[in-house]
Amino acid sequence: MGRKPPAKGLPFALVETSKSGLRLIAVNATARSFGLMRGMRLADARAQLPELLTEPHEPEEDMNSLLGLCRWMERYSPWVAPDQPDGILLDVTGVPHLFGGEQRMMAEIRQRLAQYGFSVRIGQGATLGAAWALARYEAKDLQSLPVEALRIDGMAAKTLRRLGLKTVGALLAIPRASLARRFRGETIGENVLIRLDEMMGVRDEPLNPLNPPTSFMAHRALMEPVIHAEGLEIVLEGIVNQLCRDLEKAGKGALRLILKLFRVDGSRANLPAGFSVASHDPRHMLRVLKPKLETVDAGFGIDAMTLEARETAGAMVQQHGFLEDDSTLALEQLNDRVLNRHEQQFLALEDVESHIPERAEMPRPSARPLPPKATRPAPTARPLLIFEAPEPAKVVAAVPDGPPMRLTWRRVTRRVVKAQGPERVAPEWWRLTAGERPRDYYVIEDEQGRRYWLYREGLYGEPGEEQPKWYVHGLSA
Amino acid sequence: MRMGPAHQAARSGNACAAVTPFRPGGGDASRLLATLRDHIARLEQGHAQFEHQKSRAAPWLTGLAELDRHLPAQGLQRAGLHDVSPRAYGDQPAAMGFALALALRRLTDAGERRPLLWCRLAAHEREHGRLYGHGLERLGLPRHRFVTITLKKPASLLWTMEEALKSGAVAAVLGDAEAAHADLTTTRRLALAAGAGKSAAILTFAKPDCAATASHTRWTAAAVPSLSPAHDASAPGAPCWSVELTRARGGRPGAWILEWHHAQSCFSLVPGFSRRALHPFTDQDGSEAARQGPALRAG
Repeated sequence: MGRKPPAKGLPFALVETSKSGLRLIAVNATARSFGLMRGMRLADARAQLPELLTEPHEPEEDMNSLLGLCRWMERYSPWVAPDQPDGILLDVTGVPHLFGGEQRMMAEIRQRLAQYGFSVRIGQGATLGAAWALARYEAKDLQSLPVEALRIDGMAAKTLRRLGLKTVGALLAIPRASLARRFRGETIGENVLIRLDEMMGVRDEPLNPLNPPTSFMAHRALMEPVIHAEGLEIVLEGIVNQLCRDLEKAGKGALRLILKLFRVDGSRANLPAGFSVASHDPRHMLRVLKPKLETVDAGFGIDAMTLEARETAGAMVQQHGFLEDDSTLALEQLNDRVLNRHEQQFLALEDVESHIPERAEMPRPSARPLPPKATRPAPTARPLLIFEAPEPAKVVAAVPDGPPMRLTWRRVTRRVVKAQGPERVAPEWWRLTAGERPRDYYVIEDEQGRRYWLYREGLYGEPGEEQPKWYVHGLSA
Repeated sequence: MRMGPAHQAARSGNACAAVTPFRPGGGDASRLLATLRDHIARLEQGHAQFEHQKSRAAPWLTGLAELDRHLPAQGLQRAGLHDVSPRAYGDQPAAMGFALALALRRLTDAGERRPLLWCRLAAHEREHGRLYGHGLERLGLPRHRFVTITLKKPASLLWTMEEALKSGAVAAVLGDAEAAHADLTTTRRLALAAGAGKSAAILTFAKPDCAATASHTRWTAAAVPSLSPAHDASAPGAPCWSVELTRARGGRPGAWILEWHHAQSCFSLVPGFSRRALHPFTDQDGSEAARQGPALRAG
């Protein structure tokens, strides 16, 4: 955003334009201590507190910063989801022991977020519903939570209160059938029983994480933030070795990796990497990831790293054949390194069954050359280099259908000394390409010995068609 | 017994130098020369590389005695850098063809199973065309022996070449080079990488004039009218190039006119005068005829 937050201790509010004028949408603690509340009109607030500082409310910015905070929270657990408009949900199953227990983890989160200027309420429970409730309502256990903690509509909550059911414990005493009968609606906010079941754990409520987490992940949290590249490389080696061990045990290899670096200022850097062949070789991964690590700006320091294998495939056991050496593996790894560094990969030129020259070949991304196969007999004469788009040229021939005698191409006129042809290439009638005319290819050599491969498109004397045109399609050695 | 120079050289050199007994009685000048040449090559290249060159595969030669006499004793440096530039603008396909022919001579070694990598620059592809597999087959490079890659920036191409050479995964790397980027330091790195991976690197320049490089041999090539096949007097024949070796570390410069036979993967020498005999109607203004003898150039 770029705007500096106001100094601590000053009253501050966010203002929104609604249909009844400017209203306060959020107030900070200092402003609240002066008696300002959410929903007050700005005019009233200013009258009460002239030195109130205000900023316009920007919901998208709030959403973005919430998402950014969610991504930062991924250092604690990969299962993170935003809970609009101002909450974050984390599934910390199996995680707290890494941080010294649940209480210490919550304390650390609270402290770090306080450093960033957030005041936070944390709740932890066995289910999503329970955690949500405990974060917002004070209670010593689930039974004594008020019914509003069930995430139900205001109408349903009011109805429950009128019926005398004020706490969750009271609700649990009611038979389920009558609750289901009484509170039935289309939205989930009306379905009290479902919400109750979700909170108690009877009904499963999965979390929709921001990024689908992967089963192969290695994470390292550092005690002190690291700035220098050597330190980062050491940590990287550790997590790469760990990930490769896991992959190897499962018999899988990684096809796409993502390396996440968490900085102390709350931002995150993502480094993707990909392999053409599933690999669990730590040396290969390191060789691909180390150059990427060098491009990252460490900011004030990096204090956590995660390496995730986003896409995996069964790793082929590299069995070296009797005659094969491991140069094919080296070639594949070379391809991966070039692919990850420069986004270009090796191509093998594949033979395609077509007599149209530009279609007779297809470059195919392939880390190793194509295996030799029984090929068709080689066509008569083909150039070493071929142009993507044949270049028009002017040709003078002795007879209209004869070979060229003079060629003007790229503004240079050359005299043709030798010519071979014509090789008739007719358009493929099974492909209905309009306007394709038959071509007559010639291999010509000029007085200096340079060779060109050109064609005449169209035939002379065809009624209704325009004059044939000449094009240079390729150059020979 | 006289202590000949060979004996002294062998004594003072490496401990592993082969000590050929010097037999008096003359007629052994060639043996003496060979021993001296070996010794100098060993001192120049370092012991390990020399032994590798000598002991392992067949030397990288063009197959023509007249040409091989000008190369160092073991032929072209098998794990080194060479470059080919066109003699004029428009000779670039000839330069690439000649570079490919040299690489194919390297691949004819039966023990070499690694493929060839051809790195192209996107700008060169737009200007001169991209590689055509059918044409490469006609020159003798089968599809199952090479892969190609196209890169946009010359710096990334040089990086790719260096990585390919260091990894030892390819037998030879051909690459398009720009004179501005292929200077002494970068080419020295390529030469070292080639030595490390025991692969050869051949750079093809796009423009005629280029600066000094750290290559082991430097060639220039130009297209030359070819010899027609027997059955058709007006058809172009096998590719013919006028090739000049301008700099060879351990060898002598020279110039020749060569014809490439793709089926046998070998060169043949075209005598200068026969070109004129075959083309009675072309007006030779003498510029081609003047390039008969070797054009020696210091470098």
